[in-house]
Amino acid sequence: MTPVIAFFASQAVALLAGWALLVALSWSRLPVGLLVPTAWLAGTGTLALERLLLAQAGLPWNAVTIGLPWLVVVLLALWRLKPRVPVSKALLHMAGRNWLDLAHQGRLNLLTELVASTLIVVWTSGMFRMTLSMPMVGWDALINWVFKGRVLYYQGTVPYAFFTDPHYAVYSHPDYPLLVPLTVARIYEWTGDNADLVRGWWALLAGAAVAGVYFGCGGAVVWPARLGGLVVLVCMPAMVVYAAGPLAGYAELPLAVFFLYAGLFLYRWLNRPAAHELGLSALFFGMAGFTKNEGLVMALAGLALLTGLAVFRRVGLSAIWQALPATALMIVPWQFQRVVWGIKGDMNPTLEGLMQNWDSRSGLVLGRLLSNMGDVRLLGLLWYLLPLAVLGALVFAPRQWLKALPLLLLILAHFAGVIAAYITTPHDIIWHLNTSADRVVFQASPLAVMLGVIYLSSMLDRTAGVAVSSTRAPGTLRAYPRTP
Amino acid sequence: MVAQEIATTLSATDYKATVAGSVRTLRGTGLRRVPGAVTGACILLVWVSFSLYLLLGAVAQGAQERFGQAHAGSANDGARAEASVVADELPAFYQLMDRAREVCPAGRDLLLLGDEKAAYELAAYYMYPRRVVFIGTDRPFGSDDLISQAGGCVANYGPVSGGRLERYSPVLDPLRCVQSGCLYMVNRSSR
Repeated sequence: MTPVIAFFASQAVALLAGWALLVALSWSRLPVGLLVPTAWLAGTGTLALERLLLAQAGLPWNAVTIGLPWLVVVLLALWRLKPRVPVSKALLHMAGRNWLDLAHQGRLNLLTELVASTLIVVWTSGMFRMTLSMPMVGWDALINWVFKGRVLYYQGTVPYAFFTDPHYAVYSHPDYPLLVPLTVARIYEWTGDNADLVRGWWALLAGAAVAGVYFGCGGAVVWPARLGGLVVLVCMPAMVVYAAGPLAGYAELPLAVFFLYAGLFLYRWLNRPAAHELGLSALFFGMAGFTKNEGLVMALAGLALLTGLAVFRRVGLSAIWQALPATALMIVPWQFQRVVWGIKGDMNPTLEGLMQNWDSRSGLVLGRLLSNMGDVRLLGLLWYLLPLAVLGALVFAPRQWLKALPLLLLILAHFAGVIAAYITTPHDIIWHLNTSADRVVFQASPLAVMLGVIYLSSMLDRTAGVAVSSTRAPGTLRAYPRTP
Repeated sequence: MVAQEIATTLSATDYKATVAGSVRTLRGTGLRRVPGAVTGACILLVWVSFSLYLLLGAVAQGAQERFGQAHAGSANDGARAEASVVADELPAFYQLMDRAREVCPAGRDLLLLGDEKAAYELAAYYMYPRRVVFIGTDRPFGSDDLISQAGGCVANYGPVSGGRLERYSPVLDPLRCVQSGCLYMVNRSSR
């Protein structure tokens, strides 16, 4: 097997694992364009988590230990897929329509969806090709993520000796969550040690981001705005830089994609309170917290929002009890391990530190973040137009503005966490801002694009995002007939 | 035939009622939506147009060059470049380390003479679980260091450190050389 085929085989396994998991949990009722990237991302995250749990249990990573839990998941998925009513011709016909989920739309819509799908696939392939044409040279990409994954791959576990060795701790940030290194290790199990090819994972992540914005907003956002969002993301230079350029290999893109999907499913759930959308949102918040320390702030803010909204909307505690374990299962194992091994991080923001340094650093930090947000060569007009879109929606479509408000709060919570971290940083503040401010701005950018698209859509059509709550959400699977 | 049908349809249409109905509709719902829709459409149009301008610019210039520049031009990149001192030479550096993994005795540390600490950090990580002992340009290096390393490997990386090994060449068997460094086995006879 050539390394490229092996790479795609490893991704196909993640896709199938994620799909089986979603079916087993009854979380798979999504349009195909959204189901594919969601299943792939969920599979990627849970396969990484599985390796960590195996290491914590002292079990080696091999086909048996890794495959056995998935056998249970697959059996459960098959049981779920078993038809509850006798298979008839009419049912098969409906199932076929469900699969495409386009039959209820007009021909123009069908054509638009096909063109958009083709564009996403072609663009992602272009990103993948581009990744192969340049070596991975980013310092953080190597030191914090890929080389750490390489150590896990060669050791076949999460080695205590490495993570607690002061020899490496000086520069390898052993406190960082392990989703990316564990994924690198998993890909290496298929491709062998290949730092250039593993960058292809970042190209696929970029494709998942675009598909998420386009297909995920289906039903709640009018098509011109969705198409606009697709074009904006595909043309955004920062997406190329992080997917296939010099910053492919950093954890910023994975974090941004998980944050985007968490926000996306939160918004879908707000439009149509289906428990599985809440569960998926919680899962992706958990994956953000398992990717980078900034993701922990995102996850905590997300959990607070999810709980608050669930209580406010009176959906019942059962939905929350289904969702919260998904987040906890992703975040807790590594944080627990850190405490047990006594691994301390370099960033420990405190209220006291925040108050002490606020006057001397806040202007510097805010100025730098705003300067990076305004870099049109990397982010286009995103951070210039988002405030206009927010204001426009508030004036012209206040109900829809309110509905998307949780996403705006999430973005604000992310920046609040980042600002607190900078203000209390033990490092030289100028150096710290110079080496990372543009990256933390990017972490929220895909979600900000989606938020802009939602607000613009609500101005273009004030019924968008409201009608779906009263009936079946367009872009979701039709209900099978119930057993009489 | 078709023209005739259109003419019949047109003549049968009550234009007055149609126009009045349209105005009612606009007053009732549509008219209030117009400013919002126009504002939204304008913002979307500007956003998409500027994005397409960025893309077309990139295509005209060659995507890789453009995105490399867009990134390199950002104020943040200078600091990152300082950290990644060996970035451009990484492939060659990996060759050196791969060779070390292949041929150097597993139980022995690798002695690395380097100009920059970054080379050491990368090597230490790359060689894990083997240890790398680093001797920077600020630390003395002599025959005692080589004697203790007899039967093991020594590598140099960077022009200054390369010069420091030259006079010991009789006891060093070269294993692999790249532009900025070499890997040697220290001859047992050096003891």
